[in-house]
Amino acid sequence: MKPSNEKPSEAARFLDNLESALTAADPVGEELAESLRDDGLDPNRVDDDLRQLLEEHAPTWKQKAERERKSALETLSRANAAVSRTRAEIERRIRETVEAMQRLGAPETVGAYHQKFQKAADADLESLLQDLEAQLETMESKKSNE
Amino acid sequence: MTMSKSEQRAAEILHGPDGTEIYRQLVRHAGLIARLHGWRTGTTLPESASPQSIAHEVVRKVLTGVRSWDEGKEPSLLNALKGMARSEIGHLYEKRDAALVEPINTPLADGEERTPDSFPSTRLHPDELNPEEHVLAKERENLRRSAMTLVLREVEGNDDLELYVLAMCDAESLAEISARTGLTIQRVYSARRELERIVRKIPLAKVIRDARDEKNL
Repeated sequence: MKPSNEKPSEAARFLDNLESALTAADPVGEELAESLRDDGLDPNRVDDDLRQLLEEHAPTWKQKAERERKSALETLSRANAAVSRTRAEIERRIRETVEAMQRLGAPETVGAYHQKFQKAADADLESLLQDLEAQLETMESKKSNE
Repeated sequence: MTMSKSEQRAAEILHGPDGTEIYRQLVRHAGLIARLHGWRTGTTLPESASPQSIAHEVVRKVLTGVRSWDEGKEPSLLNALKGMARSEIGHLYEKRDAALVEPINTPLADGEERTPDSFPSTRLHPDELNPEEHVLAKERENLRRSAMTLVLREVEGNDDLELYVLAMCDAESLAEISARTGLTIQRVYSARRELERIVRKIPLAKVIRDARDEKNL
């Protein structure tokens, strides 16, 4: 709305003065907490909001270190979960995946592909399993679209 | 991403011993400004905003460099944040007001274009308010009068408060009010506290209802 050319009314001036008078002085401590409560706010939740803001946008070195520690722990636990599978278990799952692929019409050579890796290291075997599982997923989704 | 010097300085203060108090004061400030804006316009904060969300946004913007705090110009971080909160609130209400007043030179739903020629008075005086703005301005004045009357009614009979309200129109600080009224600084301080309580006690709905009743008299 464009500003009126008229002088501000008595009521407009009164409210402006009231606003200046109330906002010029800042209460502290318990009085401040009471003002927030009067506005229906929980002072502790207001403090939590600031903590979260700072943690997200301006973390201290301690908070940064803690965040990095947590992220490293998560990566480690993911890696551990993969490593903790035994070789026998991986081989069993490869076998099952290959059989499922053959049932869906994959050529017999898939079995040979598996045999070729019989002497492979555990990590390579794990990677083969992931590869075969992805291929099986593709075949299954193709089949269900037919 | 690295922080600029002003972002770092703001973060340092907010992490410090006064940080919590500053943030609480900012939320309180936003609450008072929003309340008085509400009285003036007859609406609560637009776009589902709240005093806390305003304070949150302002601090987030300062910490991420969207808004910058120039410590050379305004040494107090709290004052800088208060100014930003006021401008955020003002901006929200301006956006709302713009939507309330029908724009000219825009085709209406029936395809007809409304131009200043549709309003002879605006053709003669282009700076004058258009009819929608006139109605809105009148409504706003009724709201302001209603709010003022409600505050004055609450103050009536309390000598310290009556003096405080009279003096606050010309004085800028509590010390100045004390000097003008002859009240001790403690009594001035108590009067200010009481006035704040009164302001928080008057609901927006009451201001709107009284403004409407006034109009219908």
